[in-house]
Amino acid sequence: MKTIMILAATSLLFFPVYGKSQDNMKQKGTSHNHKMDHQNHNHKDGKAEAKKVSPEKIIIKVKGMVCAFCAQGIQKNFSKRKEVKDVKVDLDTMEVTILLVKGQILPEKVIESVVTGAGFKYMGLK
Amino acid sequence: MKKPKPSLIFSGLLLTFILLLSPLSHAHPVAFQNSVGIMGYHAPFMSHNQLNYSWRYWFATGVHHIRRHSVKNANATLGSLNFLLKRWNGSGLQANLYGVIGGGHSEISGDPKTIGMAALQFDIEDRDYYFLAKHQQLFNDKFTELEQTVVRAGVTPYIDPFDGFHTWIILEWQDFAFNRESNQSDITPYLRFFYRNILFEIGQSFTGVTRFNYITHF
Ligand SMILES: [Cu+2]
Repeated sequence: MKTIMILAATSLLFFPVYGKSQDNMKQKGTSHNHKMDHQNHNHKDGKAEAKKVSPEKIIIKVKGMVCAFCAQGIQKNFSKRKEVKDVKVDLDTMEVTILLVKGQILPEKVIESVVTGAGFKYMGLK
Repeated sequence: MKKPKPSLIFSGLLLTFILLLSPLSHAHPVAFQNSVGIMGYHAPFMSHNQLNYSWRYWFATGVHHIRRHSVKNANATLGSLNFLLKRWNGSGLQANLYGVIGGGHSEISGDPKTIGMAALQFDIEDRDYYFLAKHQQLFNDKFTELEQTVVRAGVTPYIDPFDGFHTWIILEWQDFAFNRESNQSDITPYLRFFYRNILFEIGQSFTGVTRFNYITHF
């Protein structure tokens, strides 16, 4: 038993390094995507219009997600919908990115009900 | 033939161990809608395994198997209704209050009996810290067959994206008693490993009791 604990403890020492480097990569990735978003949608049109236009990518803010189980709950609940192609969760920014199937729309009311149905608090579109 | 790496042997043994024991835990009585949760708690004196199905994020039904290892055929099989009574969603923070009621058949006390179960659990966690308090009772019409109180706190030394590999250090105080026998308390430091939808904890108490906990959702 002690041997197992020692092995486990040793493994623990290595993971922070691995974890941080991944984190950095992820952050770089996120900021890159963010820039892309801004290039892709037109700010001059205003927010209201952007909502109607049914973008293929929706970013929402969600409160209460803390771990992988939470993230999976959100992902599964959105993925069940035929309009949704992919879902990404970022616990750092508390953002959920929903990629829609081309030509499909997902009304904000539906988004909100999926989030609350998964047990979290919907904080609006980004 | 090439010798397999020690780390591979270790992981293999660990996995076999988990699967063989299929232990269950003080974990998530209710999870996300339409999900299945399997969780277990295993100690030398008893094990508690459960399978839950969450119909809503606030309601699940569960099947439990509890075994007292020191007595022959001392098993209990129960069904339960699990409720998320209240959830607080904060910025990167979540707190939950769960209530569990159930009933079934038990031979833990030595005699076959119809028993009831009641549990109350509070937990709060953010991405760095974790705290849980739980009290659980199994009772028949005459006396309490099992009483268990658990208080635990944990910390993670690093934060990773949710799909990364997570490690936590947890300290647990536990108090339990069978059939109104004298209470036993101990403190157990755990290591928790959490990867995707599998969470596994291993610990050894200061009195030498080895414990395993395991949670998975799908
Ligand atoms: Cu979670």
